[in-house]
Amino acid sequence: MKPLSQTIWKQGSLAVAIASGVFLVLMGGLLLFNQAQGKVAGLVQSTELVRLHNELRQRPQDEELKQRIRKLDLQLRQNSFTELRISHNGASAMIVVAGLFLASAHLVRKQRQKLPDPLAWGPRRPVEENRTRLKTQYAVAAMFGVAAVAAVGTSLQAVRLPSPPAPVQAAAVRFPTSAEMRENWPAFRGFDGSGYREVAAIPAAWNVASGQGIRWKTEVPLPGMSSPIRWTNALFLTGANAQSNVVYRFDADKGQLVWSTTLRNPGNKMPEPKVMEDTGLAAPTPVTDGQRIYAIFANAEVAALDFSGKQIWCRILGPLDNPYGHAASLAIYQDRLLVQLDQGEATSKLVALNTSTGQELWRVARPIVGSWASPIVVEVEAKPQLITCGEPWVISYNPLDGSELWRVNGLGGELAPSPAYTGGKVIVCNPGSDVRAIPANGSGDLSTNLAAWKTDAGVPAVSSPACDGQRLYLLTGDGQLSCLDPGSGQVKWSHEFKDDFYSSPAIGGNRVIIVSRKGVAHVFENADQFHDLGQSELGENCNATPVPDRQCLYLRAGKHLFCLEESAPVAVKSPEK
Amino acid sequence: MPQVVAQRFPPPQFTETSHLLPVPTEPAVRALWLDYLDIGVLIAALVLVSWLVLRRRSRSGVVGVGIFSVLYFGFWRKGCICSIGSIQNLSQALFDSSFGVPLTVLAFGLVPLLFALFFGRTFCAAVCPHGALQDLVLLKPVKVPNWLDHSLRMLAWIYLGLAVVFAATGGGYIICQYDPFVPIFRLSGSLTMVLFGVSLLVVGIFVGRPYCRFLCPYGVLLGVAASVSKWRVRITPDTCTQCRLCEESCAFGAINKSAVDAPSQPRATDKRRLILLLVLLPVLIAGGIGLGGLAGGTLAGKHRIVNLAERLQLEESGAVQDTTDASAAFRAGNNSIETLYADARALHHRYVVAARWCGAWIGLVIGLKLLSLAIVRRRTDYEADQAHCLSCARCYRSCPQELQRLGLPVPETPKPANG
Repeated sequence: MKPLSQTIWKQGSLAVAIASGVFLVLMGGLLLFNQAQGKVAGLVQSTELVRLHNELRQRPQDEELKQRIRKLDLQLRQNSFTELRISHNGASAMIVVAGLFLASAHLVRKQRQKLPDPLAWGPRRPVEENRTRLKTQYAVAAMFGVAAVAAVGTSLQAVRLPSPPAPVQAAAVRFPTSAEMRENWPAFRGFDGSGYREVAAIPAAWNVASGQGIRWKTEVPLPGMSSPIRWTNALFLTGANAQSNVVYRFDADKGQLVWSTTLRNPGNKMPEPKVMEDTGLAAPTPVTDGQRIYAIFANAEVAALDFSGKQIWCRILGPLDNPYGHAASLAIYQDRLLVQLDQGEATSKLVALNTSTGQELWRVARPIVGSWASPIVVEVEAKPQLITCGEPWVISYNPLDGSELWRVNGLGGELAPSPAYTGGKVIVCNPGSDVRAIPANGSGDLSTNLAAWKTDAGVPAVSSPACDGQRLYLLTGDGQLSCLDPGSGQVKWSHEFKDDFYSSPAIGGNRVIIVSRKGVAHVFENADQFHDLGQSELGENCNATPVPDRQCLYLRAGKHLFCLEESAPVAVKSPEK
Repeated sequence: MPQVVAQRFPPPQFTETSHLLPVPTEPAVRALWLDYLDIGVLIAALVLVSWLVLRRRSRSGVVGVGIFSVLYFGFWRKGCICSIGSIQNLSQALFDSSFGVPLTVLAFGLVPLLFALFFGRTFCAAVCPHGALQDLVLLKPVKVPNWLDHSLRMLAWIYLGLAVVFAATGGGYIICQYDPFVPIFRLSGSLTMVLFGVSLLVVGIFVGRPYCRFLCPYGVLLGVAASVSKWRVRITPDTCTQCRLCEESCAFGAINKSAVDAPSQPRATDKRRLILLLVLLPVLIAGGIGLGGLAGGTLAGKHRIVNLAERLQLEESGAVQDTTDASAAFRAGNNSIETLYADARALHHRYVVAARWCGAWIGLVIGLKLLSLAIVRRRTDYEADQAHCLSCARCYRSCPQELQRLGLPVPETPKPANG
């Protein structure tokens, strides 16, 4: 190669190397800047778009808002894809130029390469080399130290999983018999959700002012829409405010508050659900199996307590998003606590928890838009069924494993009335439409099957039906009470009360009681004809369902828990604290 | 468990318009013959490079194949399939009998190792696109001090252990997740990984192949295989004259100097150190096991099931009040949270056990490394370090004997200088 061309070659490659190097730096900087602008991810990360979408949920008919969203969406898409294209083209150009840079830089390097000069390095020094070897050993050993520090450091962020449930001792597992369950009032509307007690003493009337017919009256510290449950001489209630979810035990004979326990979940957090005032934070009624009390609240905090008030377990079943607030009461079958959590089609579910440990035994997703009805557990042909209602399905499950037994389509609206069961048929209320009886011995989707009967007379919107096997009572929100033959659906009689009702009727022996929202109780005969027995006022509003007992009636009103009896001393007893 | 599937961009919001969303389709399966082509190209490239390095002693040939590998295995095949990543598939298959390994993965995992057993690390020389790319950017090599070079090389062993732990437990393929060069080959990737890759290349202008030497877990295996290779790189084609010209020619610190000054009998201090290190070896292994147990719990958190269980536990306990996409999808599905917890606990235990093994492995490797450094070898010639030599053929032309063989002018060589 001639000297001139050699010089040109040398200078040329240097110039190319410098120019391409500068290009790489500038282009790299530009691409980084472009990335930092966030335009590529703008569409998925646009806070403005999210804000507008949220606004649209509030104003779904706002055409101008829709246009703004469309415009912004299009603009963000265009920006995003333009920037992606720029990034891709820029990166491609960088790769090509990097190749040029490397080729020219290698040429420059080759031209400037000098032969090694070992003489300049001086003689090898064995002592120094030996020292270097030792230094290397220390450095390698230090790597173990680095790894150790890293291991200890990371261990500080170790995963914390819930401990495996302790094995349940066989002796502790004893399920109450049906007779025991019937003798007590262990759940919302009684053992099987029928609102019926065979032997009971519902007083025909009482007088709060004079104390006549009031065995005792005790203040409940915190509010709640839940109803009382009873097991032997213990009455249990729940109440809540924004800070606390509390379970109360009252002495059923004397009315004393025996204990109150504020739930403590493992995280000691108190999620604040959005609830309507009519629902409140303690709408679901607790349930008991005679050994423990189980309670759930609007924030999905669910817990088990023993009869001494000691919390056995407590957990939060995930955040709930129920438009009115969670209201479905708990159900129980043997060692399974059954929790119906209907919140929306994507998140409605039914969960079974082990009553001893709170451990989840099974969970099924429910195709339910939402509901406020409580599940009931009944025996159909000697097999247990868990009956649930929600828009649009009535679904029966096996409470042991959550497998679906049958389902019927057709429920609509905001479903609050719980189902009832009598004579092999499930009675369900379809608010604003009808009440129907569904044979409970089918399997699969029974939607096309004809109901045993159907009626549009006195369809409740909130309160649940009550049935003693002979008569079915339906109470509408505006006070129309209907008595039906549960076998045929024929209306035996109906009566209109000029009042508003949320609570469900309760049947005790040959009497029936209904209580209006204003706290006015009506007692009438459990008979084939309407026969009014009395009307009394509690002096407080009332949304809870009465609990008939062998010798009295328990009733939760706005601020007090009442024990009412047929004949009582005139003076009101204030229970000893 | 339901998969959480999300479109890259949210679809248009208003279905009442006439816009029709395209139906998502699955890409067609890659033709089988293309897989066989990849295997064929791999074997052909390995044969060619082995021949170029060991027979032709041609640096330019190696560079040529390197450029081809960068273009074919790198930019054309997008860095996948990759021998480095295949470690994970093979590990998972070893610990999970239900996991199948495709023939291509098997070939890319084992064939380079087989070649290393016979011909040294010729795969690293120019067939691996990662290595070839770094080799091409090396412009002004600087010598990394011995102590730093040897200690940083330990990182690759640790990385290998962790990669096997994660793959064997189903926790993910971390080698692929943290591959610095694949985003460059694909012109797409997270900014962090792109920057990591570019940084390695910039460092690689001065420090020879930083990823290959200090991080590559496959290089570790190749090094072990190459250390017993039948045919190997020899710096001189003839007899070493101790001219020292090759001493600084290796950009990767893979030339072992002659040790003509080594004492005929080991010194007492060396003996004592050796005994101390032999005693230390089980201590390091035991320490590694203990430390592995400590770290196992954290490593388990990288598994999606354990991670989800931990998240749900936080939500259940009320420690957090919002949900993640994964927890919301789980709750929406027909899933039992207790089953998830049980699975997570089993996985957690598995991770702790695997991490203990990994700790033992790290302790063993570091202990053996310390022992190897304590043993003074009596070399008479300047030799390529069989385990660390990347067969790049750079050192050949530093040897006057080689220049003489090629008929090139031989520079004046100094007298042997051994101190």
